[in-house]
Amino acid sequence: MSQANADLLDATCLQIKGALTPLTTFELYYYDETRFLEAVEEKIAQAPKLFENLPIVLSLEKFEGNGPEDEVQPVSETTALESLDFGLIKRQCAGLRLQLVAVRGARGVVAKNAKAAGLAVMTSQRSLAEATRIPAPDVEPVIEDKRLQPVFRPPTNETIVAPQLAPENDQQQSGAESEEPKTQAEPAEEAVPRNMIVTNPVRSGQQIYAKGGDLIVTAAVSAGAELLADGNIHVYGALRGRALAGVKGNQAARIFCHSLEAELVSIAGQYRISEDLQKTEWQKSCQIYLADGKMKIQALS
Amino acid sequence: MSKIIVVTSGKGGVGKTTTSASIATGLALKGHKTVVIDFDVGLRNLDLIMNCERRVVYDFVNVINGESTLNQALIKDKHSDKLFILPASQTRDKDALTKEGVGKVLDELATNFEYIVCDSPAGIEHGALMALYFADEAIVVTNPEVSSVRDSDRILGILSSKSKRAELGQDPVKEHLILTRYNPVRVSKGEMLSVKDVEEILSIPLLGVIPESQSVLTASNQGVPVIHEEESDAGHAYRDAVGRLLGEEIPHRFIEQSRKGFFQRMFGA
Repeated sequence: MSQANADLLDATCLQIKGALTPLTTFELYYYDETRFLEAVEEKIAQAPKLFENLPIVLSLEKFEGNGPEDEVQPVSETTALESLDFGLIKRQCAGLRLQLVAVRGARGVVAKNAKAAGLAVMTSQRSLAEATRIPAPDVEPVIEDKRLQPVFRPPTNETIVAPQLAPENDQQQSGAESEEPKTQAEPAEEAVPRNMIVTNPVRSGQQIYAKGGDLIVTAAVSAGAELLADGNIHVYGALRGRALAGVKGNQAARIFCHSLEAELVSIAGQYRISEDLQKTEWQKSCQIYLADGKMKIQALS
Repeated sequence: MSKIIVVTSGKGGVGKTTTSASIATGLALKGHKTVVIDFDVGLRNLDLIMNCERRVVYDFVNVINGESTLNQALIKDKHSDKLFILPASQTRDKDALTKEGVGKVLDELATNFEYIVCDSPAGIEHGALMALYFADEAIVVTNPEVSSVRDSDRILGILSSKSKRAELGQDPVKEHLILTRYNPVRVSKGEMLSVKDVEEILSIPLLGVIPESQSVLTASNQGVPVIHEEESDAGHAYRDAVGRLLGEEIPHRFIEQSRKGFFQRMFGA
């Protein structure tokens, strides 16, 4: 926190800040004590550094109940879920130096069991999506601050998400990055580009998310459209919609645009709305970045 | 090859049905066999504008449900023997339009017609989605006003993501802009968005600018598509637009404030 902010906060002992904390999720399809252990060990072997003391969320959304051996005596999904021993799973994880912190997609008795084992119960992505009758794709901002709610709506079915990308092991030059737990566990070829290029105009109501990299738009972004990127956002045209760079907390992310006419710009959760933007570089070519945690808007050329 | 053209806008009341009627009529007057379909199930209007409401027996939904044949439902236009109207049902709701059903009817029409003009309902709900799903080309009708432009932008986004062409990864739907109710005098006073403003926001090619005109309302009430009106600027503008749609090079008119006549200059009117 910058000095100025620290002075301001002399009187209070805490401040609520909007933060998107990336968490690695284990999606459980079925549970078998030995198979679970084997599977996790195998994953860790692929990227040992990545997993050290990593907080883990166990997702039950894709849980089916039966493994390949259960074909003889299949059990119902509910029975299998209710018989899950979260204490055991937690101990298994701890044995592998992983910290199981929460369960997602647990309901009723299952949620109660998870709580009894000292785990947090997180809202299911699926039930969130059902509530809004929109199928949610693989986008996963964890929102911890109500203030940010209007900024991160659950993505609509018009959302375009960048294809599954390589793990982030060299993201940006930010020093703070090293403390950030990595989100993607699967190792993949280094050569896969993580940036996304959009050449068509981004229309009102469309949402584009560049997962794990930069988003480059070579056309205009209309009012009512929304751009999200884990990295930087470039708009070679008028930016009239919303642009949110560094949505996973990358403070070094920047937004570049040919004409700043945005409804909202945000970097790592810090945002400014159109009303405040009109004072500086409005309708001009500029870049937006964080300096000492404060948003700066600077003319280009 | 028959072409499916959807006339859409997102916002209501901007002139979709007026445009559908005039464009379809214009295509027929140019000698192309054309059918215009009213997709606004439950709020049918096209038959009124085309002045064939008294001849509706079967409708689009009847055909989809197999309750009548296509030929029983098609109504021949009074002015042109190349133009047919497929009216919407007033009593059903929009869910009666299924993708399979609509697709089947369009396939059948395609064997017999050069142009299929789909008059979309307002909004971005099921009816509008069905109207645009099969489109090869789209005419986006917009008023020079911010909310209309915003809604048109939204519809353009849907065209590029939810149309059949987008889903199958084919060439995108060809987009055209028709700006209706345009009044150069109000534009110069800053009360209305200019053609340039709208083009800049939507960034799609301009097919025509239809000037604000009394004759549009009169023509609608009389059930004569405004394109038939020889004396009307709006009629001329639609005829130009049809020409451009068919690939003719026609300079845009009605964008500039018409030069004042001698008396107007004298008296400053």
